[in-house]
Amino acid sequence: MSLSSGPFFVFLVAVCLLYWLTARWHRLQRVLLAAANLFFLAHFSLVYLALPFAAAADFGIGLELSRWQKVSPKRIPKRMLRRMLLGLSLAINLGLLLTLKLVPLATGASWRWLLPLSLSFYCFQSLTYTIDLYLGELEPTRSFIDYLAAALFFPSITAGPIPRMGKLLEQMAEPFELSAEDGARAMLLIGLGLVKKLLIADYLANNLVDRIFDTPALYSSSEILLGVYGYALQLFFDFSGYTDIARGVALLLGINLPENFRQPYLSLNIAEFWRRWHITFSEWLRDYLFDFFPKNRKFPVLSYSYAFLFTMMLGGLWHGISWNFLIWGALHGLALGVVFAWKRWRKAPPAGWRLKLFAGLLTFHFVCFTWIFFRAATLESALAILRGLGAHTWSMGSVAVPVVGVLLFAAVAHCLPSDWFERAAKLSVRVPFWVQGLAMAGLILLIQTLAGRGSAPFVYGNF
Amino acid sequence: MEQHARILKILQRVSGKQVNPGQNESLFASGLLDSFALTDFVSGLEEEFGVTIPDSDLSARKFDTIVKVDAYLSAKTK
Repeated sequence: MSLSSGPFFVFLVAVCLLYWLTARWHRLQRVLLAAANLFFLAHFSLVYLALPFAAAADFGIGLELSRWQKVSPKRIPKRMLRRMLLGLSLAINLGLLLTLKLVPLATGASWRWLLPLSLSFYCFQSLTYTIDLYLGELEPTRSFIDYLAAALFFPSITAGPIPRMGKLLEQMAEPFELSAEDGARAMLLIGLGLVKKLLIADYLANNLVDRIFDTPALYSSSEILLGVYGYALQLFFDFSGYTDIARGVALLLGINLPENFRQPYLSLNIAEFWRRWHITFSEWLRDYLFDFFPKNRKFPVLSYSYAFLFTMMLGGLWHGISWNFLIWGALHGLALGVVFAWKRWRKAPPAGWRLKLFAGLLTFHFVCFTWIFFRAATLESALAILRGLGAHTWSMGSVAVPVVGVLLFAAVAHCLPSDWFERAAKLSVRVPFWVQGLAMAGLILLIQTLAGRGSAPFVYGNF
Repeated sequence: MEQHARILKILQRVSGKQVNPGQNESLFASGLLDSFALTDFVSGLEEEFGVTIPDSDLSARKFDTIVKVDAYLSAKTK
């Protein structure tokens, strides 16, 4: 049940109606949310109904971590006991993550139907709970229902954003309230997400990117270059479209999910790119992986560079166990090391529009170069794309004019000033909520018709 | 000069911006600090407050807000 599909919106309307009708009974609302989470997961595969057992383990570990922080046991030193509890949580979540990554790899496509979701986002989110508790930065929840409502939160479980469990539980403990402003903002986010996904990302994938990446030998260097730019935009609009829908849906349930994108292709260096691209994932990597690598300020460039390299290589392997993702992660890790060394050498950021333009173009093209490894099905396919780019053949005969139009539109839309959304939300709040709902239903129908073949799966749903 | 103002002075020097973030505003989310600038920020704190901060404490979660920096330094100078 993809977040851009018709059945999902039927499910959403039912959940919202029940959720809003039970607004007075806060506890019942959370039971309802936990049930909605399980229904959503069961729709993908009944196997996922076993997930509450993993959640129960983390919930129990959370209570024990908190208990042993305050009470000193007589025989076992409490630090060791707490480490063992954290180790157990890491083993459960990383074991689940590895199993769900390796089983489809080992069994091939034939078993894909059994485990269509990799649940990485669930594992990452659950680890924020036990690690934060271990570090004493969080109080545990005493209610398993609350834990299930947050840990399996259906808008974000398939492809993020990755909220911190502490923040999610905090928000869920508050009485439900949906202001007219939030309602309008939610509708706008969902509508925007659908447009991004169905009209831009899917269109670029079907009419440009998939063709070029599947058979690069049929295209000229300039067409392949356009295909690489197209993939950069397709991935952004696909993933940020998903995030917008997830954030809009969560807002309808009174939950603010964190922002995940801030015009990433306008970054002036790769470090800035990671502060603007998949923000919740890069913050997760920073707080739960990078920060635990030993560093030495006497040799900052060396110690930071290896921490960046290994963090990003592991981040790459999370996307899939293949050479392509390892190379993609390693390239980003190396680039972060280079930026770190550069910043220590030249403290001042680039000044003047020429230098900024150069830095921006260099960063964008480096990111596009790494996307080749990210998108290509195999290492050989990635090398074929690179060979095609290096062939210096110039022709645009195979690219239709509407495709170029959508590419230009997407590039301009990506660069729109960030405050336009708030302005649009302020305007739409004047429209009655039921009219917004009807407009949304109309938009969904219109897009489904225009998109023709329906919605392709979200790219990050595979990770 | 009170501790808060001294922390702010170092933050302004490291970020290169004349900012005055809220007590609980995330210095990382607002872009004032990142993993790169954290080393300079921590060295600045060591110099200003005469404390030794181990490399193992170079973590975003320890220095994410003015309140956290304040609490960290207070614990160090006790």
